Amino acid sequence: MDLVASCKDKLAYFRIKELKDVLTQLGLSKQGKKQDLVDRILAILSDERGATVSGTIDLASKGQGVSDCSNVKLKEENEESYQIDKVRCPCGSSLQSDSVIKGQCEGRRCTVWQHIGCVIIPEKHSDGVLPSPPEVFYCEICRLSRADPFWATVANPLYPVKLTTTNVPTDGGNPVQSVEKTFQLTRADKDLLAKPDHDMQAWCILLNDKVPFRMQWPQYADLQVNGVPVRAINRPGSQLLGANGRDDGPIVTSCTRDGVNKISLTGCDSRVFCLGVRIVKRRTVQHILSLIPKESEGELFEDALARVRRCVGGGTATENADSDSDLEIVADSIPVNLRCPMSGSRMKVAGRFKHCVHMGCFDLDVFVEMNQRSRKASNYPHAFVWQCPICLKNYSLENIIIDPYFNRITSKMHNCGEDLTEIEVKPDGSWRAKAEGDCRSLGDLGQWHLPDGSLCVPMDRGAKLESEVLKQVKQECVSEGHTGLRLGIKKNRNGFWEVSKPEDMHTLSSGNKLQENFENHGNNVIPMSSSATGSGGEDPSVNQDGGNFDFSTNNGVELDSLSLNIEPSFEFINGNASVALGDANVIVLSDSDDEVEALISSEPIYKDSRPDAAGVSYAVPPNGIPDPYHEDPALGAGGSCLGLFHTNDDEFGVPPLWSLPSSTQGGPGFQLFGSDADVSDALVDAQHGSLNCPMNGYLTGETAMGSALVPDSSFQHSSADINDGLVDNPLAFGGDDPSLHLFLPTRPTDTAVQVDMGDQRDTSNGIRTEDWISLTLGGGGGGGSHGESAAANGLSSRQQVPAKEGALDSLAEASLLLGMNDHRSSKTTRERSDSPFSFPRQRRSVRPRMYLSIDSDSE
Amino acid sequence: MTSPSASSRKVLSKIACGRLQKELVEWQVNPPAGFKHKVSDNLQRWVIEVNGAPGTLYANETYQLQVDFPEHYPMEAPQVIFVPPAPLHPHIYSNGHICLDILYDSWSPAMTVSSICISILSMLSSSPVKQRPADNDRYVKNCRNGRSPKETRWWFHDDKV
Repeated sequence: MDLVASCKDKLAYFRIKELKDVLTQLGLSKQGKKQDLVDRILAILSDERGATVSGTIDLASKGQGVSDCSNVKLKEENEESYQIDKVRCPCGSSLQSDSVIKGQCEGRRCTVWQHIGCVIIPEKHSDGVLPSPPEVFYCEICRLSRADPFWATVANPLYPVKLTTTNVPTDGGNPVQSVEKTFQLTRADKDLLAKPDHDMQAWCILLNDKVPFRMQWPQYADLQVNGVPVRAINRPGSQLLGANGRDDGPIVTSCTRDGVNKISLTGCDSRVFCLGVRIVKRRTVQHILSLIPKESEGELFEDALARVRRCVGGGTATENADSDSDLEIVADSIPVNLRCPMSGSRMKVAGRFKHCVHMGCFDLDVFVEMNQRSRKASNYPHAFVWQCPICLKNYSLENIIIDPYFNRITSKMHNCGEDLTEIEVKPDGSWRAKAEGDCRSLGDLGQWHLPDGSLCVPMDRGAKLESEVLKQVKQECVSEGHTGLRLGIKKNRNGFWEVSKPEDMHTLSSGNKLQENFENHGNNVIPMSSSATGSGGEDPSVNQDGGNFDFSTNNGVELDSLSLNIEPSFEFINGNASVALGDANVIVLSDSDDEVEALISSEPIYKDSRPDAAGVSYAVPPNGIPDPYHEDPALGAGGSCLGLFHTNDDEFGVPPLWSLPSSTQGGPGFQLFGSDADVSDALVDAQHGSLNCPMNGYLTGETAMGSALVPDSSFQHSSADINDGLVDNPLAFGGDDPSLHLFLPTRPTDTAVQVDMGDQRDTSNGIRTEDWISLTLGGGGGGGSHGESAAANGLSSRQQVPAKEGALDSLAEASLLLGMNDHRSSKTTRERSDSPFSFPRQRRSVRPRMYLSIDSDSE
Repeated sequence: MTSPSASSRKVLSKIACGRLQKELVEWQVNPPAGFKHKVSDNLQRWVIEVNGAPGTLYANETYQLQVDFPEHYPMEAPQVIFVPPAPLHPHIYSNGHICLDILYDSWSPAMTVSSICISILSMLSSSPVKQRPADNDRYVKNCRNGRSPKETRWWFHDDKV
């Protein structure tokens, strides 16, 4: 008291300039009248004094000498090997001593030291013994910053101060504790407060709160700012905060004024609190989300995978070797629900807290948004703190990461239907979507994926398979003197058609208009028939409007040479041709009449379906198609458009037949024969991109699956027939020319395989008009799938079609859908498009196609 | 004192709505054994019929649970009470309030109505005796103004029942 009094006297003699010098030294505002300046200095002085006194007591109780601040500082700096940045303790003293503790908050950033005796409050009092510091210590400021990330601390006009007990009731009730402080609002502070989203907030923390990152006010808190009562909490004064509840800090901006402000808090509580005032800035949900590290930065994928393996498998086999492993029940796979526990919907971004041991995640966006929204209700007793919803551990925002394992899965399912929420996970971390009912609708996702999200395809084996197939094809060609046709054609993402050969793929510069045309399906459809009889007088117009392009091969031409030649020769006759392509999506190899007849046996089966546009679906297993087609010689011959690639000896011999890349463009892409490399790539890449590309009557639902168009050995048999049938066909190729040709009307036909654009178009149109047959290729068992296909074929209901389309739209339905239009559909499209062309033979060419793709089992 | 369950009267947030609809669908597909949701068009208040589990003190008895969802469900716990007459149970007050930690302090947004129901049924089933809590009269008197059990500071002392 003497000090303040004497200072007051002395200050009275100071001139304004000197007062301002003092205030400058103190870092305080120099505005105001002389008396204001004096008061300001005195206010600081009295605070300092109180701090010194309490610090003195503090030290004295620890048996340390009473000393002046400056003395201690000098002493400490000499004696301590480490540099103490600053002692800021809620006791108000800046004295340094041995018993200080540095906040570990954020490691480097917090440089504050505090007296252990002041901030570490053990649950049980043990007089005279300093509590042992915790392993990780956060100062109040750092705790506060983690308590509510939606408030960012901008400035601290009043650093935390402890409440002191003023009145201990004799009846054993809670003591009354209080604190009264002044704090200075500088012009800079005022400028801050003038900004949007900035506010002044009074806050209070329970020093030894078991939930470190939350505010908590004492019971019966009575808060006043500049004499104005402010409601600190909504809960009843007697009620304590629950384990997962939290208080908020009231905004006191309107109660404050320039210069010195006074704040007081009284409570009736036996615990130790500290009070502070800060300037805060509101953060948005987006800002919070941006603070969460990216998937790649939060956690190593390997760590996430290890956790999943641990949770699913309980450890590796070797680890269990010593234990009673034979007593263990090991499930092949366990179901894991991808629903966010908070929203109940499938997670979009899988978030988690870094240190949780369980593998359960939550939807990051939902979590942050819920936390933000519930803040408004946070005074309600059981509002939520930043807490893992699964294990209820308390964390803060900085512990949130994106789970790299589950996020890959959820992002892969991004476009799937809402109801797909479960996956099965094997102990090694591989997973697949769990089918509720129809596993075919899952498509690709229903197949086992490696932990990194790629499909489980034995690559080496597939490659070998391919080579075997290739060899086989070549051998056939040689032995029979026929050409094996291998064309890889697909539309890439740029809208170009690509023809691939085994070694590489050539991009054909044909597709520029395709993109737009896809939008207009049905308008420009000009079915073209390649058959001899059908093409009759309409060929010219066909060529004109639709454009044909055929892929022909000579006998004995090797595959390689064929593909090599594709590029130069592959052109569209005119702009219309590209249009036609756009609509068609599909390249069909036309067949001759004879072939059709050869297929007659299969007709009954499809008869019903054709008129009604039946949907036929085959389930395709990820690993390939057991070659059901192998035994069907007619397949190659009849359809000639779909080469089902078969191998005798390998399950994987038949890669998924049609690859439809890039559904994003809506562009049909398809691969008529992928080279080996292509196929495997396609399989690998199957995860991204769903395609709903109508192709040649073949729609594949999801991403590219390697598709192969390979004429069968039987194909060659038919080739002779084809030639006959093509007499009238304007499209022909030079006998020697192994390359693909555009059909020029005048060219002689040789043995050739025609690709009939007209058919393609029909197909695509058919698809558009929903007259198509979807084939899901695959299925583990050839027999089983065949049965299904037959049945589906018989169904031939239109209603199925929309459903299928819906399925296509979603990635989930990843299965291959082969859409084939029947002649009827082509008719429909023709009608729709007012196409002047009629194609009597269309039916035939269509039939064989259907037959090819579908049939093998039908026979 | 705050007005009774003031916050639960507020309209459900969008997230809460979506979540409750999902729960309802899930319930219809897979209802917890012994419970029946009474159909109503009020998503914010569910009335659920509870059948005492066979072989327990409450076998062949039927009670009604009333579940009120706050605006920020599931961030906040729903208010769950028995519609009187409440079962005689050491942790269930005659006004229907239930002393069960998951309804208050231990609530987690990962919990669902279904999991709450199972917990309550388990609590009923494990009761060795049919009686009211010792402080029933005092507590019920304190709640006369209709305050929510969520405003009670519960003391969860018994982990056996």
